[in-house]
Amino acid sequence: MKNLFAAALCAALTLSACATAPTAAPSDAVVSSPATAGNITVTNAWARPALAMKMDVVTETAGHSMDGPVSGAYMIIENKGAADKLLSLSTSVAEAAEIHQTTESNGMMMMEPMPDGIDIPANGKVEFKPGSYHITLMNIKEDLKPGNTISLTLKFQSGQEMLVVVPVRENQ
Amino acid sequence: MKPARKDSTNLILSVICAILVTFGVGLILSFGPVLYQQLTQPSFNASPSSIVKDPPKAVRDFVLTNQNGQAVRLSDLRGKPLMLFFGYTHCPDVCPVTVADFVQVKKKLGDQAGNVNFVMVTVDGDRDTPAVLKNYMKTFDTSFVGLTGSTEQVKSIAADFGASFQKQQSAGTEASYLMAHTSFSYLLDAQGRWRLAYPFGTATDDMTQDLQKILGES
Repeated sequence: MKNLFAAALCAALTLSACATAPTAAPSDAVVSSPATAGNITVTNAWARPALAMKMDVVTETAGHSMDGPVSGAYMIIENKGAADKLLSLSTSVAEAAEIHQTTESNGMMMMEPMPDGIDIPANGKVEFKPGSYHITLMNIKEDLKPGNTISLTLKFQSGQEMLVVVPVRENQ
Repeated sequence: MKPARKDSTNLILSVICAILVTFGVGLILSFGPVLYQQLTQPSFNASPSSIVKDPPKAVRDFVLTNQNGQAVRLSDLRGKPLMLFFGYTHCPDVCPVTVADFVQVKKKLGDQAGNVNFVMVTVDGDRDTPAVLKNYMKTFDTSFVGLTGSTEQVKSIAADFGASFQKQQSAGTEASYLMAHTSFSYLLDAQGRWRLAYPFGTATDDMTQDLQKILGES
């Protein structure tokens, strides 16, 4: 009886583990290798598809010209060391890359820019994901198509700089 | 003076009364709950996450411009149910999810996919010109309808759905401005009546299920 119980318990645990296992990435997705620099490791990076447009076709408003097509990028940043801060990002495929946070207030979705950067806690992690922190790539200069990869350079307060290869995935 | 009713007549009348009362009570007990439910619940058996518009609301007709620069009236889209939401192309995080959800719903409809229209009405008419909308839809589905118009026009249309949006200035970004907006999706039937609303993040299976029911109505 005890053996049977133990076997049933094992089976139940295994089944529940399967149920909570993360869903597989879409089969056409390229999974980026983790990028590590110092104490920082970046994983699960991906960007949304977007098509570039000839800038003369884009309306200019209020003297700004940062009104071209956008894309969103996401990743997980883990910190094995002392508290740090992601200050900025840059990429050759867009004129600007900004850190934003999606927030909701009274049913209204809003985007809060984070021009001062985002803290990466000591021995902690920050997740950029849909509905939360994300990178907005502005004025896309070339087509971002699923299966392509782009490079993002991350600059940290600690002085750490790292290049992350980011695959473009279907919108989800 | 009328003769008093006989005792036997009284008895018969009492029995008939008793039977009728019992029958009546029986009817109420059997059908009352069902009738109550019919009267108080929405008549459309919708998916759990949806908000049913009961009674269905005839949406005021409007005319906007599509991604090909053509004038499109809401009434032009009658004959097929449609899914609609208010978004904008400079939205990197929320709107792409909704449009991607629409792509999923269309896939799940299978051979009925061609019987539903998917529409995005931009809340950012200043930047989202037809050309910009056309470019945007290429990453999703070129059969989707992108509609643009003036801020005043779209605000009035959005208000009919209880939706709203606002430009936001922010010094912390190089973008000209940001947009705050409500994020529901709306299902209209083939007669152009608003039937259901979905909060952002509603499962695509739920929206598909409801669409299949609406399609079955015609």
